[in-house]
Amino acid sequence: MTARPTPAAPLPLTVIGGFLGAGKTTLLNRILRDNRGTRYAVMVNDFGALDIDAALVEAHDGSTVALANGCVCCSIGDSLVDALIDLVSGPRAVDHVLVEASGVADPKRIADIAVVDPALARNGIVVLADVSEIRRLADDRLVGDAVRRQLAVADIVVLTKVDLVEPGAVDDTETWLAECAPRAPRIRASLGAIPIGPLLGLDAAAVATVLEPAPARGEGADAHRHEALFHRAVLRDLPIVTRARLAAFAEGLPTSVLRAKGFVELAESGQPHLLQCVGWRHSIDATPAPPDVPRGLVVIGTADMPDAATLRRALVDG
Amino acid sequence: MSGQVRIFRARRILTMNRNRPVATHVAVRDGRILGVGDLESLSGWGEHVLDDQFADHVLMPGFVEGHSHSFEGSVWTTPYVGFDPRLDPDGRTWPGLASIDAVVERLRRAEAELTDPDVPLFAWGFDPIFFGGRRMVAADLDRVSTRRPVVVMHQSCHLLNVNTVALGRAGITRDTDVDGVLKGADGEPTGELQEAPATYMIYRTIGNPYRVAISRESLFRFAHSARNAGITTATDLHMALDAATVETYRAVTAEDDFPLRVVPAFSALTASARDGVARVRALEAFNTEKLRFGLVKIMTDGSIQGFSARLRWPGYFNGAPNGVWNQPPAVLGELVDAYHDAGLQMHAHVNGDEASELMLDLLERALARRPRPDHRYTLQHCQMADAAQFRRMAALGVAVNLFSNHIYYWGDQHAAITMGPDRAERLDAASTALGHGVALAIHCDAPVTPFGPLFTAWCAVNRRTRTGRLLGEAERISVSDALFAITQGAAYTLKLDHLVGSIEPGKHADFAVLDADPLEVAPEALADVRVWGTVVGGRPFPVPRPRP
Ligand SMILES: [Zn+2]
Repeated sequence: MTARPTPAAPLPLTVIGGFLGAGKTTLLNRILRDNRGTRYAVMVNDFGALDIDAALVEAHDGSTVALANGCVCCSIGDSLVDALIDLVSGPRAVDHVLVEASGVADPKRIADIAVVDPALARNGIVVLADVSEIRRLADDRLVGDAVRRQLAVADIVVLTKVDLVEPGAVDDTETWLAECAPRAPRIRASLGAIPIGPLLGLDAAAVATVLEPAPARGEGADAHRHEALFHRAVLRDLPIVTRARLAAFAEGLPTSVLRAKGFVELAESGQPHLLQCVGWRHSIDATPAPPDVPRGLVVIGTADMPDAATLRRALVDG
Repeated sequence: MSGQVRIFRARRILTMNRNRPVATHVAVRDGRILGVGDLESLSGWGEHVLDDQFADHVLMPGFVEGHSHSFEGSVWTTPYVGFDPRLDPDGRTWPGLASIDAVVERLRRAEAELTDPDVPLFAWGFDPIFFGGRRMVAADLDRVSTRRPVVVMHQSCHLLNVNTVALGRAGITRDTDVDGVLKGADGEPTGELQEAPATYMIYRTIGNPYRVAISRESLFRFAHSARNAGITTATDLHMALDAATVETYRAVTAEDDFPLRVVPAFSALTASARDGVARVRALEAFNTEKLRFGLVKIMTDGSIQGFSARLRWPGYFNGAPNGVWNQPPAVLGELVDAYHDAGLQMHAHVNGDEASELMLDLLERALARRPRPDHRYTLQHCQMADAAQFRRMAALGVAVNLFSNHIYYWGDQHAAITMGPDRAERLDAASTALGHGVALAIHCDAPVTPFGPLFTAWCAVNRRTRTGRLLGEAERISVSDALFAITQGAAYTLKLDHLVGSIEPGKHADFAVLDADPLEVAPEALADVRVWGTVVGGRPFPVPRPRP
């Protein structure tokens, strides 16, 4: 079970993009069902499309459905801005906001709301791409520009329905995607088996828990925590580095790294700062974290991601 | 039991009924028109009261505004700071403001009237288009207040200018790294914020008085603004129609003093097709003579001047990327199919010509699959349609409601920036529509531009831009065609042409009361014909004449 952020901690906001049929609804249904204690607010255009178990519904007021497991589904209605303001200012306690971006929306505009709102934390843009459809859609006269824009701003691209086409075709599509979204890590997923943990990452409290000194485990990979396709490296006892050094490390992470998060002591302030990487984008909090947070980084990636020793070298030696 | 017969005498009555186009008297009983003619012919109805109050006025059928929003009633809760003069719901004219200093001066006066030191000052309608490229900055609005937030909404509704207090409250600094936060040469935010996410924190921390929610007061302001322009039937296009909204509509339109028949359209994009169909069907049970549910609005693209409309090749003249769909075309197609199968009437917002084309494709597919007579699907705005698209509309029986006011307000920008001089000639092509037999209405989209059917008719007749440029000479229509468009034309698109839109027996006694005859004045002076007020269901509603 994920620890809940304190009321003051910003609420992670993740944008789920992708065209019709890419598997967004399947993913959201799984998140709502297998939420392991995290209370998700799922904002969608039409929650009629979600497969909400009627037995779970606690309250339904027209634009919002509250579930017994603490999750809530909100209809975006006329204005996402209004719906988000209501959610953020409202009394309902949630741990994580997921916004479904329609296939023609610009996910960056949505994710940027979390950049300007201190009550929210930008937790990335995840774009789903159906391998059998994405290239045709990208050339579609009416929607091709929107489809390409979504890929271009994605932090992580998930290739879905890979089990429905020939492996060679998946490779071809991935080569093509590497041109549309050269910096975004790509994950292959069969329908209904999209890995949720690596996609949504850990919240700050969970990162702190992972980083608590655990001599028995030590530093290294603990792949058992995730599907075997994904690896995790935990880096503890990091040296003090400059902000520029840390930024260069984040910039230089390979596309096999999906997410990295943790607290690193900066030479400039002498205090720990939160580093977050989602796909190819990173941020380093300007304000220091509390002095007692455990120092270290949790790095999540695909099976071919660098090991902990390599990552440490990249941070220390450049 | 039937009521008293009242015979109104007028200097002239333009009936818009071809069998008796002109008359001097109209007899009214129980809110409906008994007969039209002269006193002698109407005396056959028996005992009556002769009402001379309009003896010096010209009566027309109450105007029908086929595209407006009750949002008009929300904006007037705050001061207006636009470039053009504008009449408020109370009948007061707010002079246009031709400089930033003039805007600041009006805001200073509004600020001085606020007694609570903590409330923010909002204003709307700002339009710096003729300020020689000078943008408003936070320092301008700091002259209004350095204590309270000052927020000025542009006429487009998508842009804001705010003062330093507001920037501070919203936490917007030189480090705010998102699109739409304009920064000066010094790297500091200038105070101009363009669309979400830039505007988001202003609304979140300071509030949003314009957020669409109707109240008794806002509906009355909406109706009074309409009355001031001679309108007796207006649409409120694009509403989510939740229970509270519906209840407010029902209560307010039932009041005797409420001077407007309202046609709220359900916003199809706010619900699944299944829920939406059920909702609209249920609402139809609440219909009265002054409140008419049943219309469904489908938003397709954005706006041309905001570069969010979908254009066909070759796209925007200035090279801006193509605009945005509100939903993927396939989703729009599912909505069209569902509402079509349910037998409900759709009006589709289509600004750019690619949006018009998509909607014609979707309607054609639905109609081919399941033909339906007299559907009166209507393309709203439809500003860039060419002759081929109008031919398709004619073939499909699709009506059009053109945004003729755009010719005046943004025609110069369309020629110079968005479409280029050639495509701008066919902007809101009323003559091509009529030439191909497409049922035509023309509109103002209040509060985007002010209510004023005679002004809208003037735009379609004269096609003059703000700078006086004649835009698309061949698309000019006659005064009588324009008058038809703002009465029976619009009534047809709402399926209300059997009830309103002309002065003939059996219809509602709804009149626009004018000081002059629009057919007698010079076509260039059509917009200057003064409106005395309206008559709705036989009851006069004069425009209040506040002392200046
Ligand atoms: Zn409109």
